[in-house]
Amino acid sequence: MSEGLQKRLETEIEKFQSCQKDLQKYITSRQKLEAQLSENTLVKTELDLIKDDGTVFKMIGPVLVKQELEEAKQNVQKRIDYINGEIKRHEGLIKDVEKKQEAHKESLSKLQHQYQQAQVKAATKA
Amino acid sequence: MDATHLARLREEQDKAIVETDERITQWEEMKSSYVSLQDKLNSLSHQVSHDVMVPFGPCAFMPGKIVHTNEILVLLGDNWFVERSAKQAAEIAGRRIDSIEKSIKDLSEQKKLLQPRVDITSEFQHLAEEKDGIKEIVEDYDSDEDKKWREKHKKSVQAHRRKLHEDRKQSESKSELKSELTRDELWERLDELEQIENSRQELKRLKPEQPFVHSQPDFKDVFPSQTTKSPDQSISKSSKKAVDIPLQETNKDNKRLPSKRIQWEDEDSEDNTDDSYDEDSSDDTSTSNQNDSEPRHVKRITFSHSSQSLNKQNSSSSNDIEEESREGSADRPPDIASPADIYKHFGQLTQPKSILKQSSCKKQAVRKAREAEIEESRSKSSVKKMSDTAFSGAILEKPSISSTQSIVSMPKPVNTSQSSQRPMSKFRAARQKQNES
Repeated sequence: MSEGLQKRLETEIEKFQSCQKDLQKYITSRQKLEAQLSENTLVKTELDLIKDDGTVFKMIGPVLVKQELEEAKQNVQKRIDYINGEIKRHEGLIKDVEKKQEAHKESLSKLQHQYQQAQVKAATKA
Repeated sequence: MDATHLARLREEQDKAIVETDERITQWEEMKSSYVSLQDKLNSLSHQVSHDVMVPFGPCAFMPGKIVHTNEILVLLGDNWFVERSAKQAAEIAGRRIDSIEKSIKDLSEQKKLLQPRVDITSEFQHLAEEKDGIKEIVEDYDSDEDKKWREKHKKSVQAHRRKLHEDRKQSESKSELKSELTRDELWERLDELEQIENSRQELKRLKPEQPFVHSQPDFKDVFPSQTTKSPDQSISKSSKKAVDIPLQETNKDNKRLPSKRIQWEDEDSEDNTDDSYDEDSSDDTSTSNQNDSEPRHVKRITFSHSSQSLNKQNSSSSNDIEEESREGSADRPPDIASPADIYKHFGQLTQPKSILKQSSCKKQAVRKAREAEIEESRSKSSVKKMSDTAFSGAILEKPSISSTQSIVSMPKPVNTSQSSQRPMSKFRAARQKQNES
């Protein structure tokens, strides 16, 4: 009985931990996306500020590729939209993972309680 | 507050503050670098070319020249570059500096918010350590136990209230009994006081000459002069004011008495005046002075209509009344068929004494008038029987309208015919005589 309980407890713990990891991952990616978003918004504002003046370059690897202003602007805008979408998605994922985590937590606590009771019984018996 | 918990809390709070500080320093560095960059950019365009040591690699430099002083590629972010002039680049830098300053500001505010938390925890730590004799009051709280206690408390409060209510009821019932007792006590007390008063009165009677001291000056005049003044006046005054005086006296003597009693000064104060009183009294049956049946020390007013006593005490002035009453008593049966009969039978008793002086000549005039009236009434008895005998003055005055007047003025003539108390004035008598003649 106690062994079975123990095994179950271990599996539950593992599940819980994996949940936690996922949650962390999602949270970090979300933060990253937010940073990118802020960066891109800054770029956009700068691009808007320059009139049709200077040339715009895009760094692809070690190469600077010349770009047109309009094209650059559009690209940046797209990127911004994409980042926003990503952020939303991530938020949803995070919520799901959090719920899972809660469930795991409860089951884990129950199992732990049972395990403790079993241990007490064993101690009294012995 | 556990010391360990507080320590842990303090740890976390300190960590947060440290983090904020770090960020602030970072931003400050960036800002400074941007500022310097700005300066450089501004100064670049002053010269056509700059002699510089060009770095290639981490430790190698090479002397070189900056030729294109006004072409600057600016990294906007996300691998985007833009070619700008020095001035424009400086502007970009300026904008970046502004954003940095903003973030620095936010961070400093955050730090401000965090600081009080640290202060509080430090205070709690201080208390927990119990330095300077400051002890912390700790109360263990268990929600279940608290509930139980509350129920208990409620019940006990209800019980207490019930008890108070019962006590109050008991006290009320007791007070009722007490009030009854006190009432009886009051009666006893009253009797005692009465006796005291009587004894006092007796004491007073030993000194009858002493005039009573009254607050109102009028009475002073009345009492001493009762013997001296004319009987009518004295009587009238005394009769009028007799009621008031005794009140005063009683109040003065026995202020303890809750009830007011009316005394008759004349009886108790001056025994001398009793005789004169007997003389003077006439038909004032309202006064009880004539009642000698009661002992004088008991002050009680009783009214009795005893015509016999009246007749005995009638003064010389009212001799006619006596005659009338004697005359009438033989004739008149005690039947009372009309209101007029009341006046007939008891008119003497209820008639008020006139204030006019009764001189001898008036009496004669009255006599004559009455004789005339009687003759008239007899002569006209055929017209109306019982009622006619009551007529007098009206008929005499105006014989032509006698019949009508007689009905109207019934009450009036009753008074004048039955009792000649109202002395007829000279003028009236003269008129009557004239009418007769």
